[in-house]
Amino acid sequence: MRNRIEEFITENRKEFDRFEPREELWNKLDAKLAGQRKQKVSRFRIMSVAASVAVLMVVSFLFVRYNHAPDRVPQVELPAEEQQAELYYSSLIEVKRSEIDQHKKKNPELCKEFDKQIQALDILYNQLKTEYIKTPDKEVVISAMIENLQTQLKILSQQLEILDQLKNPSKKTKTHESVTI
Amino acid sequence: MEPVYIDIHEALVAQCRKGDAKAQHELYKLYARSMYNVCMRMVNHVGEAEDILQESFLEAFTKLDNFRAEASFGSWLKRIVINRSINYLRKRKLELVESIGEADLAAEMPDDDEELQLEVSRVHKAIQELPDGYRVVLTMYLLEGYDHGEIAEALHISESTSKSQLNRAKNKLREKLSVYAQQD
Repeated sequence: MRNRIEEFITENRKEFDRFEPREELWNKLDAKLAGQRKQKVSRFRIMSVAASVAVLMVVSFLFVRYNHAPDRVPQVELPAEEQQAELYYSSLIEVKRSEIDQHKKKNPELCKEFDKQIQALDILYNQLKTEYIKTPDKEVVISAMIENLQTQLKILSQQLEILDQLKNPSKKTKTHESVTI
Repeated sequence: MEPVYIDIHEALVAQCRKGDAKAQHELYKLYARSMYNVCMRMVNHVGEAEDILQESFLEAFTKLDNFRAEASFGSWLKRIVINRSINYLRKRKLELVESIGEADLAAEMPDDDEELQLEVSRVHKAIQELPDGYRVVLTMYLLEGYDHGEIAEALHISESTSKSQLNRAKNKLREKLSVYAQQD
């Protein structure tokens, strides 16, 4: 049984929205969401970077172990073509690393963690270099070395992306907070 | 052909799933006002309504992966808002709905509303003044579009209790409106 009051209310449903939420409510919510976005991004991305480092380390370790690498790293003279490739990649890597250095102040711990990842790859690279002298199958080692350098580059790019993403939402949160205060 | 439900804000929701800050703000702007009013009708308290609004949006954005487009985003969000509001009401330990006998079921007063002056502002005020249990059932039914089955489930009461509670709420509302009319 519907009566006039009932009909009146349902027909004017929209007009019963008579209150306005305060503007500041969004800022508070946004601050909470920013924390979440940050977590979501970094947890996923750091895991993926860590995973690729792990894979490469295992592969290189097995490779070196299988070929009985010596403990110390001798001076290695690479053929001209490989020297050029090494120079090319190292210069790119150097650029990325200095870019990451700029984030050091804001994210010291993350940068340290990132640096460890790259250093681990660097050590493997040197082991490959010593391997290069001994092995008759130089092609295989060379391609492993190039792959190592490419991976370093790829990881550095991912690290930079993470750092950039961390930089932006946190910046935003701060401006909102200052507005609220 | 089967009707395909297209949520008008589908693209926005998809962006929010990726954690896009701008899309989240857009979606908030679209729904904040109406959801805030749902909160206010449910708990009738500014501070609590603000808390519920924020918690609900936070929950919605966090659990957006659970949202399947079988309902519109708006009605999905409204469910969250209403469930959270009910939790708040429970925390207040208020007796939401008194246990009442079946005898009360048909107890609706005759339709003598012809005399009543109906204006949104008056009716709105009268609704705000209703006791919690009345206001909640009445607004869920008339304004939020819940049926008695859904109200019963949400409030853990029987459908017949929901029906008689609605009748009582309407009677009370009528009473208040005629009091206002006399005051003029």
